[in-house]
Amino acid sequence: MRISKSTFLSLLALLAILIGIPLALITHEAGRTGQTVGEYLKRAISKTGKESPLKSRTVNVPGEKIDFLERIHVGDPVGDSKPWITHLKIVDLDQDGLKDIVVCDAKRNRISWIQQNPKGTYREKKIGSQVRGPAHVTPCDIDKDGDLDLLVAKMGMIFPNNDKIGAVVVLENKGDGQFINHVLVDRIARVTDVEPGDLDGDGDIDLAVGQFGYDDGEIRWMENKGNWQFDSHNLLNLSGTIHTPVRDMDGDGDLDIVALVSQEWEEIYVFENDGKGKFTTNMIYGSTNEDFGSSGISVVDLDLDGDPDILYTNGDAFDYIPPGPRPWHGVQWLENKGGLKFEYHRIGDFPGSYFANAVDVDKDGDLDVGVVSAFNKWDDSEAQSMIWFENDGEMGFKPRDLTSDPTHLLVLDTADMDGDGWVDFVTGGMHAYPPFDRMSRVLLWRNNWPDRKPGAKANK
Amino acid sequence: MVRHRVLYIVLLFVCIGATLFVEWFTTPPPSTKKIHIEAFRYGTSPVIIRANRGDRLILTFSTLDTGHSFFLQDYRIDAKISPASETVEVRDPLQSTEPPTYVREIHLKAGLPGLWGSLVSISRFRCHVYCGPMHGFEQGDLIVRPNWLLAGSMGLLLSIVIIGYLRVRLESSVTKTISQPPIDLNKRFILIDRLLKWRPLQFTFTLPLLAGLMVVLLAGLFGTKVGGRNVAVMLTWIVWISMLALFLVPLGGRIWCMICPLPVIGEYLQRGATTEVRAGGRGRFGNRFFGLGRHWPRVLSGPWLRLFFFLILGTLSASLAGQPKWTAITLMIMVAAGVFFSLVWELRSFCRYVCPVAAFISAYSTIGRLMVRKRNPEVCRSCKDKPCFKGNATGWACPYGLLVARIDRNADCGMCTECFKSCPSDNVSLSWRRGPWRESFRSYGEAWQAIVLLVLAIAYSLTVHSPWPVMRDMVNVVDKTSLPEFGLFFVILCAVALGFVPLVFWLMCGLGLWLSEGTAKIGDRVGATRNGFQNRLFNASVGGIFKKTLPALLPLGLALWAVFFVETIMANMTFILLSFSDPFGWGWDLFGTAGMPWIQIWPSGIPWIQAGSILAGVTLSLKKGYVLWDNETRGKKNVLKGFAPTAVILLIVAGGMLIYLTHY
Repeated sequence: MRISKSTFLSLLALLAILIGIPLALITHEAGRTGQTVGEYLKRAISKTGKESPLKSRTVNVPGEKIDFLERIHVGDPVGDSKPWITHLKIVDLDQDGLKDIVVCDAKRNRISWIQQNPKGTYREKKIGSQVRGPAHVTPCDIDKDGDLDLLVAKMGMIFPNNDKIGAVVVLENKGDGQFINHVLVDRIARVTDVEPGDLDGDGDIDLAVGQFGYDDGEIRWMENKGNWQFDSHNLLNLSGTIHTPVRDMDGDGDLDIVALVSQEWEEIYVFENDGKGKFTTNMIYGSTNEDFGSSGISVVDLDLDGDPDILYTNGDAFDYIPPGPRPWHGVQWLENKGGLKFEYHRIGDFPGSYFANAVDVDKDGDLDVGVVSAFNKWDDSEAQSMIWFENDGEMGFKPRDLTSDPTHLLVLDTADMDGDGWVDFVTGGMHAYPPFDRMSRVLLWRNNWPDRKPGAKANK
Repeated sequence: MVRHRVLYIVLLFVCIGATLFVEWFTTPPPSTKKIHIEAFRYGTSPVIIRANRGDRLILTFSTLDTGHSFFLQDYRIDAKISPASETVEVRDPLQSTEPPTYVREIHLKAGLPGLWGSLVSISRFRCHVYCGPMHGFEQGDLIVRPNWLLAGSMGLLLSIVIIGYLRVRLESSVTKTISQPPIDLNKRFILIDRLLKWRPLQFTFTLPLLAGLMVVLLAGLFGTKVGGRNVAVMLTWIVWISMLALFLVPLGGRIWCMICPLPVIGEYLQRGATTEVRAGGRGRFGNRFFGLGRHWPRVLSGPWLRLFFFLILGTLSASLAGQPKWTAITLMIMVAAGVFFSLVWELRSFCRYVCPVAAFISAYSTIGRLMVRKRNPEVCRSCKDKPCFKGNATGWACPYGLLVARIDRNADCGMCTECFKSCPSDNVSLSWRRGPWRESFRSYGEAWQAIVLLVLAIAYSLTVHSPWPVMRDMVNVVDKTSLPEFGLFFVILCAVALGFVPLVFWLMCGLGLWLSEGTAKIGDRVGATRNGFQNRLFNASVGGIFKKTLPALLPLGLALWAVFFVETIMANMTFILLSFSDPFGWGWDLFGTAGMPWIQIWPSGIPWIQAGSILAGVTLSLKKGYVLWDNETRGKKNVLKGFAPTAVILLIVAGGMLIYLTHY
């Protein structure tokens, strides 16, 4: 059969369109995210979004309760307002040997310092000038003057907004409890995380910046040029970045950037550093559920094998009406298998789980996982807002109840606040949705472990 | 004649002036109003803010669910509303790089400054924070009295009726438009003639659109699920459909069918060729085809099937428009159907009988100016082989099963240009119509098609672009309405479109027949008498006049679709540019427009364009209806009587839509 020239050309053009376009696109995307074409297709095709809400009975994670936490209000009282504590961090800010708490208060648009002085006495005060919609605070001596400054991620508005109202702000510690705001970059998509690290190996502290945006988000790193001047380098243009912790993930001696991208992407990236600030993108995890509800990650050596793993919660439900839990909410960890390969392990279900912290609660030598929930079914008084998963030492996790009151806990940090050798919890409440009957702002949960015997499982 | 014209102009001014005066006179003086706006998915309460020019409005905000915004571009306000917060972030949408302010109340003075501002009575507010799949349809109105647009439109509509009536009554004979012959584009432009006869023409035009379709499918399947950021939604539901309704069909008739990428894969498989012709087939065609090549079942011929699919697709489209993935799946189904039908049935059965888009294109192509026609009837009569129908070595058999000799309207011909290539006598022309269209409906199906399209155009505006959330929720099967509720809505819509409204028009035609009885033309044909009318209400004579009258619905119907799409495209233009630059929502910026802020194109002008479109549409419909009755009835008085009942319905529809668009 003879094929004419025009037929040949037309067939070629058709093939280019029907096969070439999809192939080029998929290859490009797979390459960009560090996946194989097969991996990319598998995930893209298997994406399923399910919005069936939880049944009313499934608000609790089963598990016996060890009653070891004593609840103590610290900082300003709840008062008449509905608190919006978007983030907090335990740190000895004034370096007096006592742990303090720095708080992002999005209702009052400020960063607060809950100072512990004297021991066991907490007093809250505003530091720096107004920061609208603060979402994250990280202590760091960015100017290397020997005191701790605060890196603040400014969203501008906490709730959905695609305007360029974000900023990266540093509250420079001038000593004597005085802080001065420096805006490093302004009018950018809403910033949700700023993390420090020497990313280009020049000895100064650069920044990894996550910008949730809304429709338009971004991940960038900001190169410190000195004198509060920073150059921005774009890493990814996707909406929904929540956290961008900095850590040497591949063990090559330089700092990489880990990023959790939520919205419909539900992906975790590692931007692999060549040591000079050149990054290669690797998507190390992508949910097949586009409503997965990624809410937070922290980098921690959970299995104590010497390399950093990723502790990961999914329980965001701001999108739903009414906001509420979904059956797939819970906690998982990505085990670092080396060479930027990670293995997914589910720790357990927990409706509305928003942030998890790895901590040896019972001092038995392994890391347990404390988790708070911001979106449980709060109309049910039994709905848990904080639980912990007890590590059996072999990376098997058993859920244990902690509390159902207060509700809407968005953030959790852990440290030994009172110097008794046992790790305490600090939580922050974000009360944007009803019910408003069990509200909290900042709570210290003092660890009174039974009989002070490590690993004891008493007092059910 | 001059006297009459002066009279008409005076009447025009009197009608418009009177309604404007009444509006001005009854508008209360300015006052201060406090209004709390509560936002929710997908709407606000109140959804319509009514004020008088000069009123001082103090607006406060809250949201029942997630974050929303109060985006009132005419007043340069974009207020972001957060849950559990009384403070809103306010910025000027036209200066989006300026820092916002944070306030608890927004103070504004009702009415815009300047000459144009004083004419603006309707300002639409929308949501500028993606709050869910149907976010793009969230809207409400600030309506400021005096509402010059409402009053003026009503006055103009009144004047159209009065002047139309007087023209018929006063003028000895209504000036007949001397129909100018169409321009034969092949003869006028040799390049067009060569192009039309160039074999790869259709393939060449279709190829880039096929590439576009491929990008749309991939974007729908793999891209962002935010409809406004996905080129699949933007290109399918806004650019393509709007271009069809606003430009392609009114000007080019069925020109889209020539370049439509949906059926071509099936057609290439059926022909076993892309640009070439395979001559020497079996059966009644002069070409060789692959596939079963069955005749389309006679019972399914006509426009009913595609009309039914159009009803389904049209009703679902609001939900599909918010779902890139389902948009892609819908298009894939259409491509797959095209392939299936091509391999089982002969020619383009999918396009002729099934394609829902063809229901729209086919009906309104009647109005289109571009036409494929025979040049010389005698040449066709003497042609024995009928290669335009059968195909030959130079052209494929007409995919639409047409003989060029019998093409006297645009509704059936898909302008594939095969007949230009196959006609050995060069007797086919691509023409540009200069005079009024004279085409008629050949079947009840086509009459029903015109009605369904009219009803759906109204239903679209009343649901998708409705200020009332309850109306929008009815077509939102994504996250508001359950399938049974949606099913009920669909059944009611079908009942109205296929049953109630046709019945009304049927009765009006019957009434018109009765009112105009005794006239020679009708009397001769149907022997109508008043006494016999009752028995004949549902017989063929009423049916005949029904079919002959209903083309009058086309101008108004198309105008109502234009009303819908003008708002759609003007409100979403920046999203179109944005999604072209980043088609998948993956952070690309191909044309530098990916990060551009959303603004609407001349939002204060949209209601004026809409009102103008309806007034133009109803004028043309009334004129066409009169002409159609004039063909059937003797005597101006009887023509008026005969058409009057139908005209009343058209005026009610037009008036109702004018009130809806300018007052709600």
